[in-house]
Amino acid sequence: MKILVPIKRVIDPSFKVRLKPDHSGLDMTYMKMVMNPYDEAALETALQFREQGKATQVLTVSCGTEESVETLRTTLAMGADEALFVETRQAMTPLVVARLLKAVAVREECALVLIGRQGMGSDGNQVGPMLASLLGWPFVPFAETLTLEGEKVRARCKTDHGFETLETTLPTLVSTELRLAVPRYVSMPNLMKAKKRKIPSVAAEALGVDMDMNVAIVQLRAPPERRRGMVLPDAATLVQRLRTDTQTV
Amino acid sequence: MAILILAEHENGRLEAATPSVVSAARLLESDVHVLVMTSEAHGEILAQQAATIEGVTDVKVVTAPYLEAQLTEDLAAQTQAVIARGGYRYVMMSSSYKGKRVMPYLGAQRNTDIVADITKIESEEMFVRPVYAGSLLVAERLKGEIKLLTVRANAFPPAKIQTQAAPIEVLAPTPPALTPPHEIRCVERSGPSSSRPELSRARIVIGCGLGVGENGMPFVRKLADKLDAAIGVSRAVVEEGMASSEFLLGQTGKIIAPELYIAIGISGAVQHLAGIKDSKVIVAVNSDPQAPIFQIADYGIVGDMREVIPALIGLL
Repeated sequence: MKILVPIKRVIDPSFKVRLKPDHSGLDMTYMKMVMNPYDEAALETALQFREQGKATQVLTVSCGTEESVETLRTTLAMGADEALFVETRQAMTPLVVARLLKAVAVREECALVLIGRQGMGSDGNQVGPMLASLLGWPFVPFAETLTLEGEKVRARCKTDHGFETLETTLPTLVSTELRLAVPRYVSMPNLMKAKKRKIPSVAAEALGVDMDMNVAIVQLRAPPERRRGMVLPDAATLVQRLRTDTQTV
Repeated sequence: MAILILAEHENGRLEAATPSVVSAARLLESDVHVLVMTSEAHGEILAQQAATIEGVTDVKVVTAPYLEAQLTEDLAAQTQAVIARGGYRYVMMSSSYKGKRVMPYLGAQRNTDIVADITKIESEEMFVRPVYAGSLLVAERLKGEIKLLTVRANAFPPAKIQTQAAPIEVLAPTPPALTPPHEIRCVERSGPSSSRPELSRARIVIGCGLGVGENGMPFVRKLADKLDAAIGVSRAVVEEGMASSEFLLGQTGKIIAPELYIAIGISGAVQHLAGIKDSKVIVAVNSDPQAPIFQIADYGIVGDMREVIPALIGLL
């Protein structure tokens, strides 16, 4: 049984993003790129399933420009068996990414997709449900714990009011929360070994999917800044301020 | 032309998010329909609640035993059937956990992109949404005959509840979307593990960081009781295993916009600030005067929470 783990390359979430002065894009000076933390949790879970003999192979895939290859290399260093780079210079919406991933999942005969529930930064929460929909596989969203016994999948999933436990059977798509797993440390020897591996690539066009989109980013804007307020000497002054200035208590 | 809103509900109660989505919808169209998909036990009461939201012109209700589980596949299939009746230009839902799974699923079925988590409507096809945890805003243009949107509910004021009620139409359910052996069974459900107000709709929220510690929690709870406040926590607190992730505030947890947010022992990491910066008034109590939370707090007290919080409780 082969597991597919889609990987997104994102800005390190501990960095504060800024716009270029002319608002034409993000100021990437000093920015560090990392593997999307939600995808890391998905990959770690996939690796554990393989180590427990519940899966035979873990395939990672990333769509985009050549920089993504570096992130895929990290997945090999963590222990993924194979990585596939889907190359395109075109801007992609979540639906286009989902179409590409569907083509890969079908071509590679995967039975389980583990995917981060959102890309850190774009904060969209879209590719997972879209891919489940396109594949027509049962969709298990927001998994915080996940077990796999043979064909049986069981997950504890976040809801608006707590949790629900869902059970289904393969083939399935599971979207993962950060807490699903703590990603393993990548050792230097494994990183060196991964550096020597050749990562196969396929042109997005070669997958034969529709690359049309019906949504486009028109403008990036800086949000209104919140002003620094005042430091008060004690609780009494605070209560007085809250009562008279804000009427919140 | 009309807008179709998917109602959100829990245990036979309409969620506060739905009237907010109605407000957003009315900026686009005057004909606003609400679709209630639920179990047979809750259909009537939920439809009645939806019908009294000001601005709602029509309520559609579909009940079936299997809708109790609110599976993505079923909600999408039912919605498709209603859309197929014609007349809709938009389909909207709040960007709750449910909205986040149902709307993109529906989008892919309809071969359309969606705009998720909008906080502003600029024209009939231009929508603004926050990215990078609110550090940036993007304006997106969505094309297509039927546009799918999820709405950040606390960015729009809730529509009022009135005595007059919109007409209610009962629709026949579509068959379950998944069939054995590839069905999904919901075997267990847990509601909130706290009796306090829910984080995303509480008027006052208290946030606890690692600085509160186990010893500080009794003070926080007492303060929350006094203010009828919800209690949220920072990521560090969840990672230390001191609270369940259902109480997590920030980019990876709940994004809130209460009247008053009181951050106690929270330094204010970028991801945390993202989740709380739309609060109307922010108060920070922290022993470290350099804590980043003070940069966005309206009022700050530098001091030991074990002294400040009991003093506050005494004064309220």
